[in-house]
Amino acid sequence: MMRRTTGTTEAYDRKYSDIVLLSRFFKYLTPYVLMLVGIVIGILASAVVTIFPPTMVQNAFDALDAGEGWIAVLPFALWYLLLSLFLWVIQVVLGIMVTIVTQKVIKQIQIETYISLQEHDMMFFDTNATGRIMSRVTNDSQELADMLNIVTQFISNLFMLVTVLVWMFIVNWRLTFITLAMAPFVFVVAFLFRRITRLTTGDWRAAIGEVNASFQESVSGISVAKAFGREAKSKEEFTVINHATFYYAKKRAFAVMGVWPLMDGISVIGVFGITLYGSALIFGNLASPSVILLFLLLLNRFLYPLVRVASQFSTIQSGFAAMERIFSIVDAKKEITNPENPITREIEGTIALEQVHHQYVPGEQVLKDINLDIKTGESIAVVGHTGAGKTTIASLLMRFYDIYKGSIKIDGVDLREYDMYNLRSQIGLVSQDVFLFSGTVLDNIRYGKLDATIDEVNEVINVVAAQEFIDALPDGLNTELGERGKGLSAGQRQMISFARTLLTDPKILILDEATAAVDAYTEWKIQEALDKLLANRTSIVIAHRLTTIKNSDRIIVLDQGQIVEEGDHDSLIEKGGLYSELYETYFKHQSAEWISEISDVFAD
Amino acid sequence: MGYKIWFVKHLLKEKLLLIILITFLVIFIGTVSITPLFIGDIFEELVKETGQVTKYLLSNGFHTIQINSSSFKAILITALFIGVAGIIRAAADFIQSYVDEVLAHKVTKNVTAEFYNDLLEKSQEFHDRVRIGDVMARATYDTRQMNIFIAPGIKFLFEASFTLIFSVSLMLWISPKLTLLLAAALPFYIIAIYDYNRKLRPISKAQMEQNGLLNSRLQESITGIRVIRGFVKEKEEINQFDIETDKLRDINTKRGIISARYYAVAITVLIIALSFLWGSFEVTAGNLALDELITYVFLMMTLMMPTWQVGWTLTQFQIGMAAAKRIFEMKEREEYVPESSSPIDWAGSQGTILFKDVSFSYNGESTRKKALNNINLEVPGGSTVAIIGNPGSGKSTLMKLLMRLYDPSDGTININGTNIKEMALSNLREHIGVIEQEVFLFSKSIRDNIAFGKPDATQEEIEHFAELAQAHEFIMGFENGYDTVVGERGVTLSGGQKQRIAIARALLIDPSILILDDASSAIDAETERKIQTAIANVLKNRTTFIITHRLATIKNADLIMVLRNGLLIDSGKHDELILRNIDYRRLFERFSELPPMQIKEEK
Repeated sequence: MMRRTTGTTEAYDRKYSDIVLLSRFFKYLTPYVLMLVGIVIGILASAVVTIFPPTMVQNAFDALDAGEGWIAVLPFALWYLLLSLFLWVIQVVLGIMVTIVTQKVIKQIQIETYISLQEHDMMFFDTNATGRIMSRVTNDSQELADMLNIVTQFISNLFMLVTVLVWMFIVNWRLTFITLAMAPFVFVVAFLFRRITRLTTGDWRAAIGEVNASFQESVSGISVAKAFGREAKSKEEFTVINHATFYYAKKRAFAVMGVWPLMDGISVIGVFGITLYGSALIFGNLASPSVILLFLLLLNRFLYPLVRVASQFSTIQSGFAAMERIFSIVDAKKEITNPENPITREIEGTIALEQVHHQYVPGEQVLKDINLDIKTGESIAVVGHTGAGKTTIASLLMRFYDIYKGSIKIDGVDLREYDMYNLRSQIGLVSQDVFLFSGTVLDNIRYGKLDATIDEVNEVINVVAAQEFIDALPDGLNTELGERGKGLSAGQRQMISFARTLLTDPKILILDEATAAVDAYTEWKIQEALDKLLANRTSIVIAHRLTTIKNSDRIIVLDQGQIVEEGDHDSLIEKGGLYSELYETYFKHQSAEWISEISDVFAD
Repeated sequence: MGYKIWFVKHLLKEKLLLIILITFLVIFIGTVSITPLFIGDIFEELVKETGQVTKYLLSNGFHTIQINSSSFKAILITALFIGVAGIIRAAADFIQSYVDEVLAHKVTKNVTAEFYNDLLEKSQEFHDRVRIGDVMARATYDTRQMNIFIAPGIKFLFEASFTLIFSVSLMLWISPKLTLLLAAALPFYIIAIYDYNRKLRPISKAQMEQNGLLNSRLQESITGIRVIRGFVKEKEEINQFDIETDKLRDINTKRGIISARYYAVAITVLIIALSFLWGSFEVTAGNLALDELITYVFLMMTLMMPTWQVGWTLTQFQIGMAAAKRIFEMKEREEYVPESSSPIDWAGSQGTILFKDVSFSYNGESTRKKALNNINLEVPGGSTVAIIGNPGSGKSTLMKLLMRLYDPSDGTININGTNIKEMALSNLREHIGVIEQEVFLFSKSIRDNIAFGKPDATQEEIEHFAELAQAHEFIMGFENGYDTVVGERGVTLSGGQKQRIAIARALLIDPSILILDDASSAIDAETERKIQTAIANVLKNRTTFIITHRLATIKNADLIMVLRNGLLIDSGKHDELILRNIDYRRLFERFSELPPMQIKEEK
């Protein structure tokens, strides 16, 4: 009933023909062919059996009416019991089989979608909101699997309809026509119901979405709301949104709740018509009273399947839509894949960028003609304005994206020829934007090397100068962290993320503003410890701190996607180019001169 | 108060709806139960008319229908009764179904609002610990489950009980003897329902928990995709997800099987067959009329629906109550910052602050190291205070205590001579402006974000403070200016831009105390100078706390607090500290990379 009627569309959505959708759906079902055969047999059996219990009642009535006594009724009663119980057993077995197949299919679809997510290009995650991707894995897979249930019911109802109808015709064709006269009403009601439900459900769902979004944001931004004493106003705003949902829910209920009573009304007209016309037939000796009894008993077995067939048709349509959404996400094009014969080997750490061009959006060049050779063990600092393309270089080395033109070689071999998983495991990237998993601090540090000993862990903790604050946590290393490391400051999270990478002992280390939120003193301590560690590793450091930059072997200055300068601190300052300009704007205020300069501001 | 009482209270709040619901339910069930009586009447007439001989004739020819007028009239009248009863029934059904839905949505709305309001008042400690995904699961999925329990659950519950009462009374009236059968079956029904319930309860709970777990795992693996890639953990993540989905599949399958095997329905079938048999016996014996037997059988059949409804409602009852429990439990956790019963108003515009023996440890645990230990300091009103220290030294915590996001475990904080515990929370926080380390902006327009603390601010005010915070220029650079919605359609703000909006937001409320927790180094020197100027101008004679790594700010502060692992190891002006405190000197050396000598010379 609660079908999604309006789905959001994404860039990767595509259209599939019904044939393609069905054949793919059946592929999920093929492992359960035996079960499916069982389900079909069950449906057929229950459809045929369904007409017998009422017929038994009719026969018994005839027997009694003829004054044959209860002994004559005995076989009918027994048959009634056996057939009804048989029907119940079939339904139980059907229910169990459908549940098993449905749950297996849901699981299969979810894991396949999940695997496809793990393989999708980074670009996919850059452009698609998490909530929407999640909804496809959870809601749509559920909807798709529910289809199995609905299709089963649909077929079952259809069969039941046909058998009941045929039986009615055999027993009395005149009364059958009266019964059939209700069909158009049923269809009109079912059709209207579908339309109205779709309309009102859309509004209602949108309103619910609003409530959820508002709720989520209020909880996420709770500290701001508290800091500004804004609770009362937030409550006021939420009341309005919450009330809107109630309003749409009421509207929808009015429409949706109308349909069954209406059907009930139609069924009453049916009872009315059958008894009246039936009586007339009896008086004309064209039917016996027991026939009316049978028709009254069969009426619901005719009417309800009819209503369901009419309304399930739309549910099946939305199941198709869900299928399309799931397959779209599974099939979303993947650009970055392993080569046919991937190279797996231990790398040394020589990096060569040859005429590298890159763009995320066609026409907007992020990197232009980058040529750079980095020797094993060398330490390179990359500086430049925001948007100069520094982080892009890091992402390209990790093969998060494939370069647009040119080539990046590691130990003389193009990046794309390596097994990308093997390659990534030998490159360590510490990003500015830290992501920690919920779990303990220890779990997080060990993330890249699950079998690391406690000594190894302690060693990297010392390198990143994190021992002190970890000790101060309620349970030390075993302190549970909240979502995304909630409960730690930005600097502390960076230190843990740094330790996590160091533990994997990478050949190439990329630090992308890795310690931006750590204070200068701690950073200096890290730097000192790191110097030893980096001795025989290649490192690329994207930094904003003077200390770090000065410590590197070579400084690369990027501007609008191009390397504009290269050299060491002193020579670059002397040159008076972009570096010296950057120094003036970004780095200088970490020097003593700047401190006296800005003192004037406060001196007033 | 238990969660069940809480839930019932919410239901009882809507007395009018409940009364309408029950009234129309009674009408609905009454008309449903009465229809078999009319059907019985019709058969009485028919049997009377056709006598004992009703050999079934399958005739293809069209015969003239002869109507016995008196019998037909009687049948017509009875059929009309069926029709009228049917219309009343349909109308009553509609009203009761609709009212039940309204009741459900009303209760959901009230529960959601109550939950929301409660969460806003919960302490920051609570929010630090709780997962947003968990809160959201309770606010959305769980409230929905409660909703479904009310509509159609409660309707079903009443329907089933009323149908039972009506039908059974009618059955008793027709044949008390036959009804004995039903009474005999009662223990079996109870066993069936009890058994069903017992099996289902743990499964419902497990299902809800596993569902939540799967969702948060999925969310984490999408938001953390870069880390997963970077560490090549795809296989592990897939394996883990595989295990979790397997668990959920098994739970769901088990639940489906239990639902399918609900055997109370089979008992009803058995009773119908036995009633028919016994009824035939009674008819043969002349104790029961044939039409009465038909009425009886039709009445028995009206019991099929309630049998099924009871099963369904029980399932949903389990789920709905588990959901109510989850919401209630989170709501009931007594984690509020206590409000003073007779609050003292903020006095004076400047904030003279006195920290006296202030200690604090998170989660109220004193066994571990304290986050803050015995802080004593007086901050004169209007001074600029720089707080420095290593990560985890307690800088941010101290500021949270000042805003009363937490209360100190020991000691007191006084502002202008008043203990902050004695002020009203809202009054205190109104006077404190804060610029957070990680700026959180709401996905509203930039205008609404700046005016967050003062929703009735004029456009001039907003622009004025945006200009002061050096934000006006880049805001005007957006296509929609101040109406640009944060985070929408690719409008992502850089760290520096966010910080400047946060500064404007904090300045707009004209605070007496300003807290600037500064983690971003993303602002270039020129902008920084402008912001510094802005802050210096606007906050003259106001107390400002700055947590920073910026040397210029530190050096120019009126007071520097040097924290280390929760201890205030020293405080004073730069000139004093550089002379007397080795730690500070070392810190400053590293900051500025100057040999100690040079700094001394400079001085």
